[in-house]
Amino acid sequence: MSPRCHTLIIGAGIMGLGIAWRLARLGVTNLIVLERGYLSAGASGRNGGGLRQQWSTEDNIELMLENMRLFKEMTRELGVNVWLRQGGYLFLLDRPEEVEAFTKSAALQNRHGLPTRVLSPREAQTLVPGLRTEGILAAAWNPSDAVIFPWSVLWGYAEALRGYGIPILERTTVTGLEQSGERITTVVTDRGDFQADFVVNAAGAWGAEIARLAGVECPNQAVRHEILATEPLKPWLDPMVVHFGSGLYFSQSMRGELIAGITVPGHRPGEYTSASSWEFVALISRSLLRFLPQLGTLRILRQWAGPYDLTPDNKPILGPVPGGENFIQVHGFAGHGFMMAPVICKLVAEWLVEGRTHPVFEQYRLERFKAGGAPREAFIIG
Amino acid sequence: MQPPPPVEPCADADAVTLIFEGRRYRVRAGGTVAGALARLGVWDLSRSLKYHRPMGAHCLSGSCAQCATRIDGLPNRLACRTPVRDGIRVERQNVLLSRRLDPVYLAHKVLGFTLDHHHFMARPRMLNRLFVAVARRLSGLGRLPDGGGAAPRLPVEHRSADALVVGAGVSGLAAVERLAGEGRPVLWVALEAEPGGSLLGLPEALRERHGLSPRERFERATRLPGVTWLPESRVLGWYEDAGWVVRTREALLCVRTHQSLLCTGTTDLLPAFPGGLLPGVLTPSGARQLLLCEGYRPRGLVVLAGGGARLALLEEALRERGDRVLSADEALAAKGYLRLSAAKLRYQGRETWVGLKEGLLVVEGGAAPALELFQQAGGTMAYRPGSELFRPEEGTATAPDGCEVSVLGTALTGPEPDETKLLEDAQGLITKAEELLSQADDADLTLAQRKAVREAIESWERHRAAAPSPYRARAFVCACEDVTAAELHHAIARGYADMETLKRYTGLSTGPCQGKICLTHGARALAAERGAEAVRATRFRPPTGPVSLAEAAGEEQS
Repeated sequence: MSPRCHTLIIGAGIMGLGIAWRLARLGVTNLIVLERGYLSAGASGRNGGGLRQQWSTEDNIELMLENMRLFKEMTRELGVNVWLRQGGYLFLLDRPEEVEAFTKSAALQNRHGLPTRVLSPREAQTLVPGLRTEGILAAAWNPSDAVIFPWSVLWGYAEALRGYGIPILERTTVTGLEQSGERITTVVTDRGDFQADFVVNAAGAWGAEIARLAGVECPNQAVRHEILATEPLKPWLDPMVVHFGSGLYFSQSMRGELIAGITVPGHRPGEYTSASSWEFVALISRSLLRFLPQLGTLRILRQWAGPYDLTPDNKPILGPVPGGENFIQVHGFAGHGFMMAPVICKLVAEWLVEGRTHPVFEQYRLERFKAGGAPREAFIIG
Repeated sequence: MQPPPPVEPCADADAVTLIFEGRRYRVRAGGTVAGALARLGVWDLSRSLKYHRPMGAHCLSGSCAQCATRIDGLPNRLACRTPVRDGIRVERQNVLLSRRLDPVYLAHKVLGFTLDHHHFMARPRMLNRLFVAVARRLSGLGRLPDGGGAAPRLPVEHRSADALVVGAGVSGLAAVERLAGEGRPVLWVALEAEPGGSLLGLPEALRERHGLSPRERFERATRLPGVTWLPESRVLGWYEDAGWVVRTREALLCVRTHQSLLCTGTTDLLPAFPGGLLPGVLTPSGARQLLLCEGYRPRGLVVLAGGGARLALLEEALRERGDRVLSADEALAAKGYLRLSAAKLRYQGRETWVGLKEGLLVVEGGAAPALELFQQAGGTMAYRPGSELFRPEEGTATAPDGCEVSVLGTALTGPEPDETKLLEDAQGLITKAEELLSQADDADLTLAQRKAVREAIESWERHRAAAPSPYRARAFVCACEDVTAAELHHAIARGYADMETLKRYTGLSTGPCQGKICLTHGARALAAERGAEAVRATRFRPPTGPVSLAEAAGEEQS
């Protein structure tokens, strides 16, 4: 007889661990978390740690407001320093349409209590020492956005789960999902079989691969996203700066490194590899020097790559699927899964235990793609 | 406090001015900043990231980043790799309040404070806010670069070459001579300005006595027909979209080759005993560079601890020129405040303290094969319990673009090879890397190598056993991020018992050395606590060394 649990979670990224932690807090500790690699192997360990509330729809703004509250509680609740720093998010805009859209969003954000403002290039320069604003029309600025150290969040969750006696099985690969009727009954792995009342697919960029084991087709495609870190410097940069046009973003970590990423046009969805490319290094170096020409002598120390888990509309896939009423999807977050996670985990856990529903479970069902999909979210960087 | 007056007032006619911490000194022209400062009696060059421990030149090979200072307004420059120029400005980094009374260092040194920054002051909320604010202020090493001077941009050139040889030590020489002898064009890339590798600085007479290649042979090889010699150049890495990216003095080369021979040698490991990183403690490469290449002569005793071929050669060279040398079996601990002042040694079977206020302690702490490039190009490595090192699984790999990549010399076999044997095997080195791999098997190690390996393991075990209480086990195993042996132990006990999670949780391999030095210590700790089978190779990503944004950006297109 294989071990049986209330919920089996596939993927020990921020989503999987966060859902397990929320479930444990609601009194359900009969859980198992499976991880194919190791803690922080996937996108949760490879992102830039940005947390922004500057979104363009009311739903997302409300979710991210709640998220920021949850992130700010995290160090105290988990007992692990997550190094949240509210240095703000500064979007550099170089086209009139962008300025118009961000001005509209800022007004919406203001109605929800956020202090977002649209700044002139000169005002933006006061926030980023030495910023070159040639070609920049305006900047959108919310001082309450933040950056966080992503690894710590995973460690905090993992240590809390160990406290509850919940196993996280690393280096364990799911090889099959056995079904009976509309339900998943058994999760087959290279380290034995597990039975569960609920199976949560929180495998991030590998979510579609897991779903396929149950015959469920998801339209996700993984795309490579690369980041670099420079040598550590004394604090000099407070905000996360994003150039909307190119997808360039940079901020200074708590260790003093400049952490920077950019969209590389040559990296295509569906062709994910975690290899490092020179195209990225050359492109981001040129892009950084466009805005910070005084940093020519600053040296790159490290670079890495991770996946963005894209869906056709850049919105996640949430909830049960046809043919798997206990097979819960939590993936497809298109590069902002980390910043969305705490509130999503809370909603998923409450839904599993208390049956409490939320509009996201309707909006983000897999079935929407059959009906032509929801409007596309254009804004996935940072 | 000001640094002491020059030890050897410089009377050279071609002396130049070096400005250290705002004071002007006349120093000998030539050599590196690290060497010039040693002559001035300045050892503590900067402060470390976490505990503000004094850092000084240690490996002098550009690996350990312990001599990172601010030079001519640029942060984190390595004093050991920067040539002395007239008017050069050198400043300490990361000193808080005062050099003698840096509160962070005092807390660490005097009160024995070690920081578990993941859990420290995580609760209550008010204290955490305070801690995070203080941590942010203290974070980082150097200050922003001074503005003004334009950063040099490098033109990008795409090259195809028949063969690439990386490294100009004994095996690099063998490879280049062989390839040139076959009439094949070869790009020869070396970090140093001149060829010679681990033989650099050794007197000719000593080389002759031991049958080591003379300097002239290395220099001749750089001029052989078909050889393009690229000194002071770094292979930044293997990139799928560019092949080898090499930063030379004049250009950024993207190189595709049929055959790549990586003769990258070894990287000195940190001497993992308490006080092992005090300024004045050197690795064997560091001592060779400072004492022989730069000709520095300390006023006090030079203690050579740990044995092995490298120290034996060094001892011979130092005795011949009349230095006071003591060879000890092992260094157990070192103490000092801003610089090494005394060392506890195992000497002739006894444990004894030796005063080294004006002396140096050179420690053979072992060396790890430098496999970064090999792994990036598709080679695999595995942790070998016998030698407690990561070594290549196969000596040859095929890169995704079809290039055949082989690793040769000490990078393949581990430290302390027999030079004559390597030279004899030149043909085999190049055409049949598998044959060489058999030499890498533990069974084929020479007796002396076996002894060195066994001693290294025993000494590691002793250091671990000697740690009285975990949070006082202050042997640093990662110099960039200030990680102690105790922290590794605690991380493993907390469940970070996978090389990947262990390195992320402790910070091993995330600093400037990029794991070249510290990863081996992490693997050894994990092997000791969980068995060697728990150790997996992790991935070395490019770049293998720092590259500036301006260099990486390439020359601006007109």
